[in-house]
Amino acid sequence: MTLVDRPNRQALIDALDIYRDEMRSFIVRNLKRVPGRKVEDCIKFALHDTQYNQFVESRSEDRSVEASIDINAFPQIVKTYWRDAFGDRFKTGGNVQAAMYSIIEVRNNVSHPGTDDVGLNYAVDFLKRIATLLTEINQSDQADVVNAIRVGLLPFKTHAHKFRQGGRDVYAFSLDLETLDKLLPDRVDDKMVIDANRPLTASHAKDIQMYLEDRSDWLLGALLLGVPSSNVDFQTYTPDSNAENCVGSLIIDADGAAAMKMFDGQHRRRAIKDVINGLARNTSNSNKLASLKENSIPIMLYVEDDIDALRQMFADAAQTRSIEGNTVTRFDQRDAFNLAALWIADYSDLFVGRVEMERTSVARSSHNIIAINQLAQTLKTLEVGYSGRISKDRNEVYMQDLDSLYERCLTWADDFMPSARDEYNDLMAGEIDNSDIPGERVKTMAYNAIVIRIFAACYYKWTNGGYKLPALSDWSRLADFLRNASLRPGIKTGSLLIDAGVVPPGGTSPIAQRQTVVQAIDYIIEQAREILA
Amino acid sequence: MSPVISTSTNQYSLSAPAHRFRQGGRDAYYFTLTLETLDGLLPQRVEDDVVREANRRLTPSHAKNIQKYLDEKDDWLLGAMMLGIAHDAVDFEPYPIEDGEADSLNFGELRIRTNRINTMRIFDGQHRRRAVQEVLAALAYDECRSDKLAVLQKSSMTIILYAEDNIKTLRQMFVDASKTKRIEGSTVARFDRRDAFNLTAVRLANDSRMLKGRVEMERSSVSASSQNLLAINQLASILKTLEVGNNRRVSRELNDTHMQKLDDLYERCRIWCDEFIPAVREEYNELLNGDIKNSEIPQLRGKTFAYNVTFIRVLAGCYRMWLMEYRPWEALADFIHKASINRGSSYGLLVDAGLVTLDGKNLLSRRQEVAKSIEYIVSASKATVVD
Repeated sequence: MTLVDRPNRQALIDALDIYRDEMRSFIVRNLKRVPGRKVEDCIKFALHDTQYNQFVESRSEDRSVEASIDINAFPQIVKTYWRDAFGDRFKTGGNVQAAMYSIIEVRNNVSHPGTDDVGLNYAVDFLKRIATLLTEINQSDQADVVNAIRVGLLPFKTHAHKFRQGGRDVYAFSLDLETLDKLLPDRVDDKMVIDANRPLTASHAKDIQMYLEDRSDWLLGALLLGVPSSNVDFQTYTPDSNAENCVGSLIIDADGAAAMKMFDGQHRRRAIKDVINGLARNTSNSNKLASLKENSIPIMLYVEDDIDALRQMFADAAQTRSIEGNTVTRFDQRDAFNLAALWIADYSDLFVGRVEMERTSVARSSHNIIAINQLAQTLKTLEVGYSGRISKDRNEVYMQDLDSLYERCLTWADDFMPSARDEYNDLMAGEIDNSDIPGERVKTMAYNAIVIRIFAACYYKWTNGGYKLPALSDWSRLADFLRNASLRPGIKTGSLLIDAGVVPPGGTSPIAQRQTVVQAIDYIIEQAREILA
Repeated sequence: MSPVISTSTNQYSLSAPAHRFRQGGRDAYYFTLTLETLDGLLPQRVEDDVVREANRRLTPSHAKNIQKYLDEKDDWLLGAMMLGIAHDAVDFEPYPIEDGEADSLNFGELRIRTNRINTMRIFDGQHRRRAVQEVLAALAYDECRSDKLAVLQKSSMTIILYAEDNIKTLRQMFVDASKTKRIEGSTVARFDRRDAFNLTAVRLANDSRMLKGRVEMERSSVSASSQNLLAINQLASILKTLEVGNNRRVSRELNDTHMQKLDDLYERCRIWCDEFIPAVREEYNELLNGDIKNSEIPQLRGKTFAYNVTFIRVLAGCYRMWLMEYRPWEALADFIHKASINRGSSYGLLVDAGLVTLDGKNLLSRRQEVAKSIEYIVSASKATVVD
């Protein structure tokens, strides 16, 4: 690939040449104003050793002082002699030093080219900064030249749908990930609201990055952006057709690419950038990178550049309804415990026909004893304890051996639980009908999902041990202890769950607060072990 | 190249320009439909109460909210709907250019076969789809709003149609698409300008003598080490308490009323912020006159509950309840001013009000404790006035 194939990079190189020549002249001219010091002495005093060695080397090749000052030395010299020589020489003086430092970065970037062109957005941004700096040193003519280079950059052109929504023109098109990464705006500062973007949460972007990297069947929805009307041009392919919904050629000029504001999708956009960069560094994953680059994401580009309006549009777009826990459990087949819950709901004698599938919790009048999402959570408790978490890696291990997981869950459900409480045994034996469950709830708390989860946590702690506790493979003593305990609701004393502090005296259901439940589990295990001892 | 909708007797139910692309190993088609077309073409839910195919339960109230949004707002926005369809239900033919060759293999005409359109499933967008149906139907009955109907009918939404009809896979795709990060309260308060209390909160954060420079704008709560008194979303919520009372909701209609008289709302809230609050506690008054610097707030939190957002909420609730009885707020301020609200103490106004945890170090922020404490303080204050 030649530089001709990299128009954005070439534009930056051309502009940097202008900037370098004009700034060298400006610097030397003004260093002469430093009292009591020659220009070369000024440079020596201002530069770090490496920079100065570069300067000396260049001078030894018979170059002039001016021609020997490198771009990376500009801000250092200006900063050192700001008071003596430069402070009053910039037109406004605002942020010029920071801008000069940023130019070093772009110079380094285009001087060590990879195989790809730099993004249009990136090029436009830095061309503007270069032009601003040239204006600051009163080189407006040269600034105009740089601006002309920017305007001359190839605009972005694509087929697009044009339609109306909410009184605005909107363009719909798709971008492959590589083009998207070069074209669309990218967040720099993560921590605060900028333009129409909320603070960027790096961990959320990282999760999406991992999702794109780990999954081949990934899905990402449309990114939503705004653009000023002056930066887009649209030529319909069918002039006679309905102007409010047509297709044609959309042209976004170079400034428009930089002026676009993403108002929904900044985390996805960051993830795409990071996954492409990450895979590019990892040569063993070149197939994945190539395959990702062939994928695309739909874009909705609204003709709107008022920040307040874009913020409102983000707030409106975010008015979605959260996905319910039971839906996640039923739909998300990548979670081993969702699969285990569905399996137990189908095959466990205790749970079959007694799991609420349509809601996230069970009502007191329900014939079910637990909701499917609660069952999935309970099965996690069974494997890692009440406070344990299942990492992505650990979930993958479970996914490799689901049968073993199912078997362990079934042992708890159909062996331990009926041994631990007659209420479950009677259900399985048919002595209590499902339709009796609502009525039974006034006599026992066994048909409460929190209680069932507490039993799972006790089973885990008993069989896995813990701090100062040995693991006990024989759970029958725990079951005996639980079976003999009272779970009667509405009483003041004498109930295991009241003694454990998870049900207030006279209460009819447990308190779901994490801390309270954890203490209750510890209490039950302690009591059961004391009896065993 | 506008969408051409054929009749059901034809081979194709839909013929429309579309972008074709690959995503996650699948072919996908991206196109637009006017709301009118969409309503006649896309599948709709019949039974709301159960999970059906790739759809979760439909919540009618959520669909109703979207319907009202489309009905009431002219600057509405709806994102792309996602659907799946069987591979063999679609044909795609790239558009040729003049010499007969395709300009782009991925821009062309999408056709959906009539005999296979029943394989099309919405997996993300059923509430929007229902809302579109309802709003068009309702407007069709309202002769006075034919203009609105005409505009809506010609407005469009984008459709992402994945060549996928396996229900389990579509369910997984719905879950994946739903893994978004919820919008934070502080972002809503700053961005949503349809809410009168958000607007007032932002204005007070900029203009109020008491609050300027003391409202957290970037986060939804304040940490113990923060130099701010409260977060912008907490302020918006507290201003609602001021207007409608603790735990009461601001209806859409009431919000619209406030939007018409924003200056009045602002003035009422400003009096509470800049007059009542400094009068109610020295901690605030000293902040206002500079005797206490913002940088001292984190340290002072260890000594007084005055810089706790729950306490500020309680003050708003008390103020509202007090004014409802047409009493001048000065007496209430005087009562609270004299009370002890020291942190870590086993006695004091907030302990008596049942708002302090057993160790005396924190305030209970649950709504029932806050409500009881407001009632207690107002009642105790009234007793003092009577005495």
